[in-house]
Amino acid sequence: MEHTKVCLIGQVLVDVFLPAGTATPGLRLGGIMHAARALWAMQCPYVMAYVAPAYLDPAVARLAASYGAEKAIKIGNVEGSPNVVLVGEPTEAGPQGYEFLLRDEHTCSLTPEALRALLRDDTISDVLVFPGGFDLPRTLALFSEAKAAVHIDANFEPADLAGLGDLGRSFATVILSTSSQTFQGQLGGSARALCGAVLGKYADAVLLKENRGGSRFFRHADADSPIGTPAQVRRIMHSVGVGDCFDAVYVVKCRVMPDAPALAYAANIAAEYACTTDPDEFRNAACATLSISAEEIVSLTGILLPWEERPRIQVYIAAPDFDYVDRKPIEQVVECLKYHNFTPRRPVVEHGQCAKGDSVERRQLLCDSDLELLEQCQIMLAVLPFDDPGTLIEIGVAVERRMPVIVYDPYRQAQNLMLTQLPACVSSDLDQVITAVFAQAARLESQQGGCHEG
Amino acid sequence: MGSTGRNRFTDYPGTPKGDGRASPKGGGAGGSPEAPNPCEAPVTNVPLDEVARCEYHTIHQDVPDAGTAVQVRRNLVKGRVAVETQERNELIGFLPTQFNHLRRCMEQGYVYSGMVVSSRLKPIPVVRVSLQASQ
Repeated sequence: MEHTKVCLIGQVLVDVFLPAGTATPGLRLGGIMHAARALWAMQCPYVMAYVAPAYLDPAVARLAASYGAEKAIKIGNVEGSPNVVLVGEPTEAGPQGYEFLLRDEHTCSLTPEALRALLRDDTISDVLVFPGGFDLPRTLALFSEAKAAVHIDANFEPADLAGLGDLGRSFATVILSTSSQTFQGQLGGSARALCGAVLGKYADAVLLKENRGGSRFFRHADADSPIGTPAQVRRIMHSVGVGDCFDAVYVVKCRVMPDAPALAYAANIAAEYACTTDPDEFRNAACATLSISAEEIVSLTGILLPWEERPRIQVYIAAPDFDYVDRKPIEQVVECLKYHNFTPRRPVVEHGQCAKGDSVERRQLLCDSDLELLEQCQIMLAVLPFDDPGTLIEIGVAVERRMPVIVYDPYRQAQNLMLTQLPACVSSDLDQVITAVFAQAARLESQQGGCHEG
Repeated sequence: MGSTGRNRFTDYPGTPKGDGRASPKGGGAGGSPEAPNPCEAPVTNVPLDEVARCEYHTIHQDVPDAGTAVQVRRNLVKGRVAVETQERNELIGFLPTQFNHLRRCMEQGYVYSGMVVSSRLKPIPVVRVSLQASQ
């Protein structure tokens, strides 16, 4: 089929960004509106089949029209919840801290005849489903007879992948993120397990999105040779809906080109989406990206660091990690590293804390143990809530060993010339710090001939 | 005690910038403007990648001096955004991948030029550059 027209199915939400400090919260329509923005930016014809509370209907209609949707059909009404999501950590440096207001009160009454009517439009080439908040089995069953290819972003539902069988035929693509419960729970964080559970059984292809570590795409016919697409990582404004944008671009582009360039365009345009909430700026960036040749976009390097490879990247946490110090910033970086599947090592926690009256022997033992641990690690992440001499010396040792050093300076204390200039990154922005960990880890893996940049 | 009530949906294409658009970092409802255009943000004191393997070092067994005029090549070299001397177009090194968006910015008409701000040959060749965008 040469003609591409996408039907987006899912909830419309209100995303509320809660910034730190005194800045005013930001808000905009989310849910399938993220994918809609991507389709609008690509000038791809599309229709929306959405569920939402009634109070949002006028806003959805206005916004869908302004984003070029041919139709926005309501297929289910939400009651009991305003469909508002509070986003505490917009950049996903660590756990995003989504808060779905009145989640347990949320009910949705589906109107299948509205969807049936929409599916009679045989110019729809692809259906992209974002489950969550509506009756997925019943909805999927409606597609069993449709001709369109069906893609599903299965991050939130079905809770058990066996639920994919409700479609009654094979999905064109099952899309999952490494941050999903399904991937980390049912699949034990294994891409191999994902392929085993889904490929050939429920789907022709699987797309595993790995946040700042890129993505892997598996075709049933060639599951042992996934297409790795590097993430285009840079300073971002938010990560909300960025994965949905990726999905939409891939679904459109894979119709007209091989998977590798389709995925590369998706990664690049998703990166643009993360850098702005200005629709016109996003569309201009997306159009410019699409004007780069397929050959060149595929060649563009970035960060490719598969989930399963990350635990062997051991990150030495140099910090005043003492019981009499406020450890909050230290615990924040540790949580973020674990969230992304790296292995943080905390010398003070592992070896113990030196006390004033400790014997020389114990002091020596602690010092030796810490240096030995430093030897085992590949990256140093120093946390400097204040000028702690031990941390500063550790930074010097690591720099001399040519180990990549990243400094998290939460209170902007770093002034010393050597401290600000020698490390690979010094930042008070946790997102930048975590991105630097990914970049340095990918660089190291590249040097070792494992997974690599680009 | 009261609540602020300025929030409304303003995320429409064609809305003038700063007119209440959502901003995850705050100021979504008539508040502070969006982040600056990433194509126009200066690139300051950035160490280039792979200097030892690039043309300039290979030919001269040296690194360009501080003050050498440089520019970004329009086309990628081995999938990287490349920095070369303005005078002879000799490739010095690559910008770190977080500057990959400059490739699409160049597609939008931006060009990037600047100078070497520091360099050293040993123990490993290092070249740092600062660049400015122009259209």
